[in-house]
Amino acid sequence: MIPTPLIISLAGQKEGIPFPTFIEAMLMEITFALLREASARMPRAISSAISIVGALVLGQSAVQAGLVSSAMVIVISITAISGFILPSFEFGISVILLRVLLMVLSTILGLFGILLGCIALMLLMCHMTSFGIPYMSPLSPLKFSNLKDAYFRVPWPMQKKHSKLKAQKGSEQQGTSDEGEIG
Amino acid sequence: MKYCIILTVLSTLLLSLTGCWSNNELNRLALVAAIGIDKKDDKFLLSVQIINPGVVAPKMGGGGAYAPVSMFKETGTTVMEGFRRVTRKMPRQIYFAHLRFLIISEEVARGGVQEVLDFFSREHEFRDDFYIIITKKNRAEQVRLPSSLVALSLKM
Repeated sequence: MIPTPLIISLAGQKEGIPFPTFIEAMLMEITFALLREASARMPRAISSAISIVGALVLGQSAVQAGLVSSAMVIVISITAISGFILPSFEFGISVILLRVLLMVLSTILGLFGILLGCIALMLLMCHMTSFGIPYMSPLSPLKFSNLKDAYFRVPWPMQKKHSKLKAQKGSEQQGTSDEGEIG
Repeated sequence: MKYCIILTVLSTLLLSLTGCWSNNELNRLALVAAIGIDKKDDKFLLSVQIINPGVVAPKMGGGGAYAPVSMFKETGTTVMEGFRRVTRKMPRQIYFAHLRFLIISEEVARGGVQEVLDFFSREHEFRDDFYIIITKKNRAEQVRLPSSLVALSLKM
C-alpha cells in the first residue's frame, strides 16, 4: 500500500489539476517529444537553450500554473531518462508507441490493465522472430550455453564459440579462424 | 485455428473475472483518517473525518484558509446504513484504506461492539491496520482529533 503521508502529498498536488491523469501524462509526453525532436535537429549551440526552456518553463511553470502535478513531472522525466538507456534512438521511439498503449490500458483498467499489457507484450516478444531468429533469443527458447552472453559476459577466453542460433557454418568467434569472416 | 481463436477469446474473458480492476483519480477520493461511532436515540451516529490533502500536504504557499480535516456526520440503524447516508453528503468517493483510528464511545461499547466490529472486519473496503479506541466520553462525535494531531499521527 502507498504510505499515508505519501498519498496525502500526492493528493495535495493533484487537488488543483483540472485534467485526468491520462491527459496530464499525455501533455507532458507530447511536450517532451517536441523538446527531444527539436533538440535533435537544432545546432548544438541552440539545443542547450532548448533544454533550459524545457527544464525551467515546462517543468517549473507547468507545475506552478497547475497544469500538471509535480509527481507527474517526476514520472515523465524518469520515463524520459530511462528511454535513453535503450541503445538506439529509433528503437527508443518505437517504445513510445508501447508506452502510450500501456497508458491507455491503465486508464481503462487500472493496474490490472498494466499487467495485462505487460503480459501481452511479453507474449508478443517471445513470439516474434527477426530473420528467423527468435527475438528473445537466449531466453525464450532457453539455451543455457548461450546465456553466457546475455545477462553478463563471461571472460573473453571462455567465449570460444559463437552463440548457437541456427545452423551456422563457422561457429568460432571472428578472428580466430578464416571461416568466421563474412566474405 | 478456429479452436485457437476460441481459446484466446475465452482465456481473455477469464482475465476479466478476477475482480480488481478499474482505477480512480486521486482528486475524486476522500481519504478517511478517523471514524467515530456513537449512539443517538438507539441509532448509530457516525462521524467520518476526511483529510483535506491540499491543506495537509507540505507545499509552498497554498491552503491555510481551510481546516486540514472536515467532518461528516450521519445516523443510521446499522453502521452500513450510516455510511451509505454519509456517502450522500460527500462530494467524493470515500476511501477507507488509509483509516487510522476507529473511535467507539462507551455507550456503544457497553451495548456490545460485536455489530460494529463485525461490519469493519467484513466490509472489503477497510484494511485491518487501524487502531480501535474506546472513549469515556459519551459523545464520540466530540472526539474529533485535533487537526495538527492528525497530520502527526498519519506519520505513524
